[in-house]
Amino acid sequence: MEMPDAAQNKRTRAVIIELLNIRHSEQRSRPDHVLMWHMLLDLGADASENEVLTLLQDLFDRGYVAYREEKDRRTSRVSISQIQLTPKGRDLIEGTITDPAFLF
Amino acid sequence: MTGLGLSGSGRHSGEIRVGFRHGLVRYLGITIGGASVLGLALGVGDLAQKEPQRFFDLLSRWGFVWLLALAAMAFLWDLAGKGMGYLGRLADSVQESSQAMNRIADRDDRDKDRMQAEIAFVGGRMERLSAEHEKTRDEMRENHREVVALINRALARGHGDGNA
Repeated sequence: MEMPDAAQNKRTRAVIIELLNIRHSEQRSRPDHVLMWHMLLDLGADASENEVLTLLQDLFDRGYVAYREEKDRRTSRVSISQIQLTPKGRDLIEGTITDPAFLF
Repeated sequence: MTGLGLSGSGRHSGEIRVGFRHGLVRYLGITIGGASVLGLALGVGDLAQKEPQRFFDLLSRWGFVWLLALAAMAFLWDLAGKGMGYLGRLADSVQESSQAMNRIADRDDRDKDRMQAEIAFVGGRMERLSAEHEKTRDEMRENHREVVALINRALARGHGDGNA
């Protein structure tokens, strides 16, 4: 039996990858984490800003996305910008590779 | 702060202000105007000190018209300064309005951009759901055919047994 949070994380990871793929295929600008967060909220994902940041960092660690991360030293606020899919991320969305950490 | 990033007084803080009121024209206006008044005052003072007789002759010849002209010049200069200030404020407000319009346009573009990506995402999901629905329906049709065949076979066997 899978934990509900784990299943939700898998779905949200998949949505992030799909959104990035759509933006890439339409040659749109690379989003930042705030835009990604708002898109997820619009699509019904129940995620906070910090959860989105954590998921993006997780996707980065897995090698599916690349981005630029900055931390405000005064407020300790992290912001992520210029998010883009890596070739491994495109392989995942095209089905060349599979990963049980995603629920498409 | 307003939604457009303007402070309470309507000014946008933290930006370099380049405009009519803060540019070359203002600098030249102040410099030339100040230098003219200073030159005139120095000239009159010099004349009064070195040649007071000629100065008073000049004063009596020109009379109050000269003083009136000077006052009128000062008034006109002040009026021109106020006019320039007004024009400068007008130019600044136009500049701020255009900046606010740009911000609104940028935000609209971002919203449109975001919605297009979301629509594409939902469209993709709908296509996938539709394909899965088609597949499920085909499987159900196949199962239905098999079930009907099984029932028919069972019925045929029952009839055969009854006949025997």
